[in-house]
Amino acid sequence: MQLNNFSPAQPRPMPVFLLVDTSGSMRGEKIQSVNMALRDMVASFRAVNDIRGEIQLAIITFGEEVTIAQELAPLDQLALTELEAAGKTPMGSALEFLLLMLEDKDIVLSRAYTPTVVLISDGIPTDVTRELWDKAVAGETTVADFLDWPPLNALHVSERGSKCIRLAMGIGDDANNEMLTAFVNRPGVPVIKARDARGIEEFFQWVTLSVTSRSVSKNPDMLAIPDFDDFADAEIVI
Amino acid sequence: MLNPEKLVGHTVFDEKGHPYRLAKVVGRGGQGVVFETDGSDFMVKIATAKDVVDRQELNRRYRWLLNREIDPDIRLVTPEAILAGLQTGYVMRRVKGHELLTRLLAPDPKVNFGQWFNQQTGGLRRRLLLGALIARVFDTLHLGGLAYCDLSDTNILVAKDPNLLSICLIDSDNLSISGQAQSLVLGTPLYMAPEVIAGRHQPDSLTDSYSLAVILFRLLRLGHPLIGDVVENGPPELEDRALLGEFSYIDHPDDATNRSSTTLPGEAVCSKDLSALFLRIFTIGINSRMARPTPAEWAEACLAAADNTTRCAHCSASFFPRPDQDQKNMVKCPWCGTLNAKPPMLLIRDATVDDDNKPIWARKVVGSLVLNEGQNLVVTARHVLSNKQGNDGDQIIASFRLNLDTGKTVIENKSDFNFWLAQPGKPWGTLKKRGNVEIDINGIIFFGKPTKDMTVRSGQIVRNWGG
Repeated sequence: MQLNNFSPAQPRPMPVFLLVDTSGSMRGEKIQSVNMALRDMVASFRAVNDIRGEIQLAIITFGEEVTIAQELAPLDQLALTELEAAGKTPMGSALEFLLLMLEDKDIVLSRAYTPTVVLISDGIPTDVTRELWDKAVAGETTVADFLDWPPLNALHVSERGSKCIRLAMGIGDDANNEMLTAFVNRPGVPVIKARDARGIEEFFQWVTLSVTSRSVSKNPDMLAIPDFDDFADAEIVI
Repeated sequence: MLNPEKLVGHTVFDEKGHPYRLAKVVGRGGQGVVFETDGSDFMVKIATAKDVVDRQELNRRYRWLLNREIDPDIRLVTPEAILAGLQTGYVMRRVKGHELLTRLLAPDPKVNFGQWFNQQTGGLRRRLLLGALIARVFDTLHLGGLAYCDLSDTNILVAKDPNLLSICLIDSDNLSISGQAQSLVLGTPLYMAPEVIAGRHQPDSLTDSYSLAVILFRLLRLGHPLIGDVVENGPPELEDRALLGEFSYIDHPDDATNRSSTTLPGEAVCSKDLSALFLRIFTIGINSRMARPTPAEWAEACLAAADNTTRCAHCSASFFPRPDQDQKNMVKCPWCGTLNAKPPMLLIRDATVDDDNKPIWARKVVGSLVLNEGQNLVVTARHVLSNKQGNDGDQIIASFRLNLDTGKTVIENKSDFNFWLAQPGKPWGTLKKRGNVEIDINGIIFFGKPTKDMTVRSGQIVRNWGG
C-alpha cells in the first residue's frame, strides 16, 4: 500500500439541529435576527479548536411548508440561505421530520455524539387538534397537554429523540411556554423567553456556548448547560 | 460560564494598572477563553470559573506560577501579570509564528493525505524531531519536580513553517509540584491516563508520561493507541470505555480484537525502539505506572529514529529506508512507492585495542545514522560519547558529507580531541581536532584513541547494511 492515499480516521460528528419557526409572524426583525445570529453561531463553531468532535448543522424550517433548509453537514460544507418567513406554524410536521432524521442512521451515524436540537418559535403550533388549539389560544394549556401531543410524544418515546439535548426559545407573548417546556422536558434545562428580537442573538450565543463547551468537555455526551445569567436581556421561564 | 463575546471591546487591567483592550477571542478551552489584545504583544486569558473558591484557587495558582523561576530551557508560556478587578485571569506573551499542534493531528480533507503529511506539515523526520523537543520539555519539568497535568494537542504550539523546528507549551495553569496536584481540571480525555479518568489518581508526572506517549503516538501515527476500528465505528460510549483501558492496544501482539485500519502502520513511521516503547506503555504501562517510559527515553528514541530517515528522490517524503523484498540494494518509499538507491549508513560500534595495541571494534551496532547525499550529517556527543555524564548531548563532534560521484565522504573533526582512522589498504591515520579528511566507503573512524582501559565509539560508513 502507498501511504500517499491513506485514509485516516474521521472525527466523530456532533450534530446540531435547528428547528426555526418561519411563520408569517416571524417576518421582519425577528427572522432578520435569526439570520444574523445563525451566521455568528457558525463563525463561533468554526473557531473551536477540537478534533474530538466535528460540529455538523442541519436547519429545519416550518412556515408556509416544512423544509430542510440545510441538510446535516459539516461546517465547511454548509450552504446557508437567508431564511424567510410566511405562512402558518406547522411545528408538529417539523418535529416529525426531525425524528425521521434523528433516527436515520445514515444521517446521524451510530458513532456520532448525542445531537443537540434547538427549537425557536413565536407562536402556537397550527397543526394541533381543534381542542388543543382553542385551549392554547385561551392560555389554558398545561405541559402535560403537550407531552401527550403526538409529535412530541413520539420524540420523547424514541430512544434517540429522548436522548438528544433539547434547547428552546420562545419569542414574544404569543409563544407557548407549556409547549416549549414539554419539548425540552428535562429538569435543569431552562426554556428561554425573549420579549422581542433582541433576545435572539443572546439565545444563539448561549446555544453556541453549550455546544462548544460540550465539544471541549471531558465527556461530550454529558449535558453542559451554561448559566443563562450572562445573557440577561432575555428571561428564563423555568 | 461567561459569554466571551460580550467582553470583546472591553478593557481589563492587571495588578499594576496596565490596561489591555480585548480585541478578539482566539481560543476557548474548558477552563478559560484567550483574547488577543489591541496594540500589544500580550494575550489575556480569562477563566470561565464562576465559583468564588475556584477563582481564589486560580489566582493563588497564577501567583505561584508568576513567582516561580521556571528553567528558561523549558519552552513554556507562563503568566506575566495577573488581572485585577472583576475578571479572574492573567496576561501572557503571544508566541509568534506558531500554531496549535492540533493542525499536525487533523489531516486536511481538502488535500491529498501524503501532500498534507509530507509537504504541508513537514513529514516524518520533522515529526520525530518535534516529538523529541516535546519529550525534552517534560524531561526538564519532571527533573525539576514539576508536572504539567493537562497535556493535550491544544496546549502545545509548533512552528507554522514546516521547515522549522520549534515548540512551546501554553496553558501552564495546571503546572504543579508532582504529587501535590489539586487540579481544577483533570486533563483532556484522549490524553488522560486511565487512573485519572477513573478518578483513582490526581495528575502527576507519571500521568504526564502517559499523556506524553499518547501525544507522540498521535503525532506519528495519527490514531489513538486504544481506539481501534471497533471503537472508532461504535457509539461514543465505547470510546469512553476504551480510554479507561478496557480494550486492548491496537498493536497488541497477542490480541487482535482492537486493530485499527485508520492509524498509520507502525513500521512506516516508528523505529523498532519507538514501537517497543509504545508497546510497553500501552500494554503493561496502562496499569503499571512505573513501567511507563520516561520523557528522556522518548526523546532519545525520537532523535535516534530521526537519524535513520532518508528522503525519497521522487516525492521528497522522509521515510525509514528498509531493504526492498525483491531488490535488496534498493529501498522503497512507503509514500509514493518509488524505489530509491539504498543510502549509505554510519554504523556506530564500541571499539577497543587488541594485544598489539591496534584498534578493533565490536560486532554489535549501538547506533546508526543515514548518510544522505549532499546533506551534512552532524554527529553529536549523544551519538559517539559512551560516557554521557558531564557532556552536553547536543555538542557537535563531527560532520560527515557524502559525495556520491566520488564515493568519498568528507569528515570534519569539530571536537576538541583527535580521531583515529582505519581505511582498507591504507595505514592508520589520525584526524586532528578542527581538521578534515576524505575517506572511502567502509572506512572506520574512531572518536578518540582507544586503549586497553578505555573503550571509544567508532563509526563505519557502509553501503551494504541490513542484508
